[in-house]
Amino acid sequence: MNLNDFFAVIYELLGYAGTFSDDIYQEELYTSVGLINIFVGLFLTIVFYFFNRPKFSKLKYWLFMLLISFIINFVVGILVTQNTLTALGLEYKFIDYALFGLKNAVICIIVFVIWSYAFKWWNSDTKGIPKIFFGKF
Amino acid sequence: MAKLYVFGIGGTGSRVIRSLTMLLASGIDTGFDIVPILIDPDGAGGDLNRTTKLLREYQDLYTAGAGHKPNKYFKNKITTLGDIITEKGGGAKVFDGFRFELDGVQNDKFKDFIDFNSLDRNNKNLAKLLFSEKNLDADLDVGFKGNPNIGSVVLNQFTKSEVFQSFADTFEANDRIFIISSIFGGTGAAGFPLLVKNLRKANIEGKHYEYLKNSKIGAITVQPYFKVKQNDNSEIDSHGFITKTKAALHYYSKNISGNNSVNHLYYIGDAADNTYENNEGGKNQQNDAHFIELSSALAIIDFAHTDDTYLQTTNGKAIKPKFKEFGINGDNNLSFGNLYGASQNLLKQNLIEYFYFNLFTNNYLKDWLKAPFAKEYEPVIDQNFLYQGFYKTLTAFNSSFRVWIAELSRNSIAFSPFSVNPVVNQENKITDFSLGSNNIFTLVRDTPEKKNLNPFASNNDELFVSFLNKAAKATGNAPDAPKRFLEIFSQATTAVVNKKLI
Repeated sequence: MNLNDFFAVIYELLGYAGTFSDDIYQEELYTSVGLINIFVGLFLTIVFYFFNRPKFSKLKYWLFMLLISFIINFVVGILVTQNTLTALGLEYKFIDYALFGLKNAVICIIVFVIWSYAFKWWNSDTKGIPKIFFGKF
Repeated sequence: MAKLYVFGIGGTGSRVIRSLTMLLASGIDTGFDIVPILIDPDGAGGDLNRTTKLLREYQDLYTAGAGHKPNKYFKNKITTLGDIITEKGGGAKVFDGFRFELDGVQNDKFKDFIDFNSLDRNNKNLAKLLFSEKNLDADLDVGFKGNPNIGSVVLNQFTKSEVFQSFADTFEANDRIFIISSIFGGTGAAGFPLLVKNLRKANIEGKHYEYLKNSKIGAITVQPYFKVKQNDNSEIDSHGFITKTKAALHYYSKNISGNNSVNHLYYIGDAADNTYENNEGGKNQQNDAHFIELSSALAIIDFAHTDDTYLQTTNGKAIKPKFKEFGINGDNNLSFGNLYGASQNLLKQNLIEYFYFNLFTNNYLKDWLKAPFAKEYEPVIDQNFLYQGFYKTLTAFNSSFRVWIAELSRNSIAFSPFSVNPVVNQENKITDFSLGSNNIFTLVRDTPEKKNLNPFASNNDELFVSFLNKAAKATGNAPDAPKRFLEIFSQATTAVVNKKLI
């Protein structure tokens, strides 16, 4: 399975949009948007876990970083697909791009949580942020 | 572990042991279990009671911290003679705490103590020759009011007591003895030579104690370092301090230093220009802590750290007795920079670390109970923890430490290594200190803060928390909250002080 197939499975789990999804797959946009999503999440978690200090080691600041990631990925999801497909002369409604941006943003939440769990053990100041499973893990 | 019996005689003895307790709390280790025995007829004495309270708190904190991973604070065991006898399976109930209670001094006049009225005429005349009318009518329950001639009679009781016998019974080959006394008052000046004589004689109720006879004995004799206000109604008059000192030194030159009774004898004193209230005794006799007392406590540490080879004794005589004095580089308002090498090394790191431990727990801890060091490891340090016995005791001890620091800085000569301002109550007694700066790492005089060039780096209490989080991660969980608390704070304060100051 190549990267495009891998990301396509994930994105289309959240909804298949017919020809719009096919065109994104065809242009291998799943790969570029997915990789941007992963690296944005990685960058922001590194900032949170490695450049943090006790005052900002709180859940509300972690949620703030997640919000930034959400917004970036939402905008990236719209711009990358719209620019590419429009350049190819393919016309879709803005709502199609917006829904894809939203899918990308939702996936970024999962990516951000995964990165967080990979890094939260490293910094003693941020240990315990976030905690899921009823605050146990 | 071998024991170091520390006899604190009179008010000065109590005050020096107070300073010693603070030093041990801050992490200084003597290598001995300390057994303080306070000998003071003035049971209501402010200094005495302040010290016994402090010793009890220290014991509780030692017990709370002992037995897991090593931590710095309260690590030197302080125990009582009663505890030692119990550990050895002895049944006799010796005194419970730290103070030996003299019988027959409560509400008694000296003439009642010696049964003056039942003496025959010749003995009455002899007693009148040795003791003035004022002496004979002196109330003993507030001490000997600067009269060693009374003290030497009353304190004889100690060496004939069950306590002294129990002490001799528990004394072992590697144990040591240290005696603290002042030379210019009543209790210390009388008690010190008497005690040394009986220790070296080592014959109690017909039983001979060879270990005691050849024990390693250190002593500090504190010469005048304060005056008291002139008061015609008081028997204590500081004009006589120097004369009494000279007379006692003359006596010691034959009976203490002259006959090699003591292995190490420390002399300390100061050209006194500070004047205390003239209290003959009782709860009002509570003097501010003084640098002389802190230095005297250092003598105990010095003696404890001295190798056995320098403390050999044969037939009750020290083979190579040493006589030591203490010097400083400065004349008032001292800080760590005014101490010479060994003293500075001993005091600086430990007192600074305890100061910051104290500062953080007192000023900031409650604001950081949601930080990882507090809530991410078991047992948690939360609001409940702050209301439990251990933390209450620690708070009480730390409050005493703050008062002690502030008193040292207010006294003359002043020892003020930290930029703090004493907070006083209506009676001008120190109750706390306030900080001289908002930046907590600028509070150590003569020791500039190591600046961090990163403008985004954490500082102040936040930096402390960062080190606490690291320490908590390294320590992990602990059997109980007090052990975890002491471990992480002892690691974190060392790290933060090394990072920012030393």
